[in-house]
Amino acid sequence: MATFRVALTFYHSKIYKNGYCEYRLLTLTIMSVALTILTGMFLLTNEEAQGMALDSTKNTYKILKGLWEKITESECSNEYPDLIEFKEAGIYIGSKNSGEFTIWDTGSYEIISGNSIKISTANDAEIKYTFFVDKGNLTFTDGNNCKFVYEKR
Amino acid sequence: MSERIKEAPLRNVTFGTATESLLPEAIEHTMIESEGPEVLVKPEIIERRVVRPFPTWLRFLRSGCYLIRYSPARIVSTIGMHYDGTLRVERQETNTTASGDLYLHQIVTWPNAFPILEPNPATGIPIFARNRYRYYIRVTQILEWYSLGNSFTLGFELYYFDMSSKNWTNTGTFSALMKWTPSPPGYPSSSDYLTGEVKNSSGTLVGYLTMGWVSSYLRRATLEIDRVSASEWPLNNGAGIGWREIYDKVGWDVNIICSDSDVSEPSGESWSDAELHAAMLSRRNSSNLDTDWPYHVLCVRRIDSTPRGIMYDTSGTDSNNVPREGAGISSHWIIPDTPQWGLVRNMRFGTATAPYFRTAVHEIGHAHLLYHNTGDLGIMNTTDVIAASASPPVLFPNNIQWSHHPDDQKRLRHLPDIWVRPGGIPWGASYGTAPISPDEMAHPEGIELDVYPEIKSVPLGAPVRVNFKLVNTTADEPLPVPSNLSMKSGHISGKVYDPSGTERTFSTIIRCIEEEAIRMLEGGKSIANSVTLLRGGQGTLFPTSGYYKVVIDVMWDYKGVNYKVTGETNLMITPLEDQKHARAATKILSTPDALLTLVFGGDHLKEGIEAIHEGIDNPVLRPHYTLIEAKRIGNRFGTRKADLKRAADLLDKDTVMSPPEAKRIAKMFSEQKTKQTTKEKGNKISSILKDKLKAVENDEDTKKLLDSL
Repeated sequence: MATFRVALTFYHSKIYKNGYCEYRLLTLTIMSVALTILTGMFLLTNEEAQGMALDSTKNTYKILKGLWEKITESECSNEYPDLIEFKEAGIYIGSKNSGEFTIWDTGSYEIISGNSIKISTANDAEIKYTFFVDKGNLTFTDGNNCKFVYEKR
Repeated sequence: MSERIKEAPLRNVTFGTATESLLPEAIEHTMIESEGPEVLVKPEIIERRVVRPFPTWLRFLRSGCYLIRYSPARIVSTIGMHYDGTLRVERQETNTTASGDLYLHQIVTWPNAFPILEPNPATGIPIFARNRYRYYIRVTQILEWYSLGNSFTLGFELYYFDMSSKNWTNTGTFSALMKWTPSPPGYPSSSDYLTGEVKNSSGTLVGYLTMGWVSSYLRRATLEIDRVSASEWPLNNGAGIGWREIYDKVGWDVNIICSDSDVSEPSGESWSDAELHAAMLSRRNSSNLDTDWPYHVLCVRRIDSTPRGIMYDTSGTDSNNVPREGAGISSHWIIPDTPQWGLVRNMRFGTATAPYFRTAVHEIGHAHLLYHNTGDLGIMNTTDVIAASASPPVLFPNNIQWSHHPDDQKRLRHLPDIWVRPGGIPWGASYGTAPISPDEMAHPEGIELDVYPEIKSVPLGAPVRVNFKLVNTTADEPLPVPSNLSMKSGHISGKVYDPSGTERTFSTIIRCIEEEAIRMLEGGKSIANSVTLLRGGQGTLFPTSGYYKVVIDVMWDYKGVNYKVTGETNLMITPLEDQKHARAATKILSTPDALLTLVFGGDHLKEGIEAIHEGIDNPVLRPHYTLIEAKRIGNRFGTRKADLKRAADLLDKDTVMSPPEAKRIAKMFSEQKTKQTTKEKGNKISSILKDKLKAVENDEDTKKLLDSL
């Protein structure tokens, strides 16, 4: 891309010889160079950002890994397990103290971004939830706006 | 027919509308024309008559499905109302498990109304309309082996099913002396027909029962598969195991129909759950869930809500409000190119024959109202977990177990009809709400269970501590018993009978999933533990004052056989002494978290802790709750440190504790000895605990523990 812009600039400098055109050429040249530099910076930043996101996601997997106990008591959160363990390889196991049905019984989980996670459910649907972790508490919000909190055991 | 299908021999698979049976036995098809609303279904495979080499005075109960009829005594002579149903008899070596279902057969007298036809035994396993479902028969006693006479006693409980609330009610215990008699015409085996009078637990005649063998299978169903043209049929695992082989193991006679292969895509290659459901409704051949058990699988390229498969017919997307009729699987998901996926990594799912077929079987398992099961690598575990469990040299999918987990096998055989059949109980019901016949348990010869309460009189509102001891009564023969008898081990369960005879059950609320360890108990020796009872599956275990019976069961598996030993004891729950006692007892008994606080401890169950504190603040209940609180605060939780000083202050000579509790508390103090506890306090605790343990045989480790305090 940078090479093309330089070649284009050189091509134009060959064609136009009067002062006005030379002024325009100079502007074009400066803009091309600036664009090249900016493109390079964007690509570099994006790679860095991707790298950082990857690191952040890996970190989130580490933070999630382990056993969590639900501390919210609400009707809307009743279908979610009382205990959930996030394991290696994106697998989780959930259970209710009473042995009742829970929508998160076992399956896979995948962190989509810093606050979005996809969890497979009891009938194998994969559903996205928002989540955040703060001081040993893991808070989920489901599609019905039900918010419920787990505490690390 | 595709080349792939030709490679693997198929049994009993139908393409289009013609049915072929490729079973090895000689078979005979019987076509029955339908008449009226109670349509009997399509041809049923019937067995040859079996000639038994045994003497006629030696009778055994043939395994399989029996057509049964129950006629209540009080109305049999009048309007002729009765119940039709099936009884399923399963025999595994020396263990027999049986269960059944009853459907109301109302005699129709209304003008122009169609009569309900009697089931035809010649057509095999009958199917009854869902709205006629009434009872589950939980068989508790049946002929295990051979009978020297012409009869045996059938013992059972009848559970009434309320269609609107979806609740089950145990209507009582019954027994019937079943006698072999020649069958009426039409039964495949005239020598496998029995009749008997049914009596209740008081010995009063309440009805008449007949049962006639109709099939070696326990249940039957139809599975129709439709697909878009680009998707494959999920018919087998590529190594000789197909639908028939999977379902033969659980006694289901499943007719597979590969129907439409030209289902059109409504909105591109990926389908929503609603689109899957709509396609099932429009494409399936059979929709009469009252004359058949029809399940449906739709194979499409992709599914919006999942990569591999889904049982979509739950609540929201169930546009016809009939649950669990169908499932969808996707053929064009690309399996990730990671080592976890073993031999099928980076393949298109439809071309990965084994996991593709497994997903279809798994999703139909959900249609039977089976939930995920991580107990083994069987059908109801998830593909992710199975793939992650593979370890070289065995790579996924070669580690797939091509059968259901034994618990799921039992469910498929013996859960109520209304649970497993399509259009029955909705998705989300818990296994614990449904009755199921018990497995026959062998009695471990030489092992006895002694059960005795820690104290014989317990005030209302206090937890009841019951000790038990597994004893090897032989002189010198080591016998296998569980090495861990705590509640968490899962070996312990039981029942509590209140003064009115009402039964309430209890079992563990958490289970340590570890390899079950069996130890050899030497002759004359014993191992002991205790349970602290407060709440069970039905709520408070001791809701009123009076005389109670507590039954404890210890169950374990040894070399594939289930063993059970039972012991029981009695105790008195004393009445409320005053208003304050009443207030504290009410608070505790109405707070479910009180039990969780007792089990888990911790600071997070505020209501449970509050209830326990009410107990501690009441002079009558205090001695029964101080140990629970001492255990809670004597352990750290989160940022709170263990407070041994306060824990020690709670304990005194009046504190009620079982010997195992005393050992655990001693261990807690010993392990967390800090400057918090003075020598004086240590001596006090040691004295209290020694006093509690003096009547119990203690091992060397316990003696050292007490000395260390």
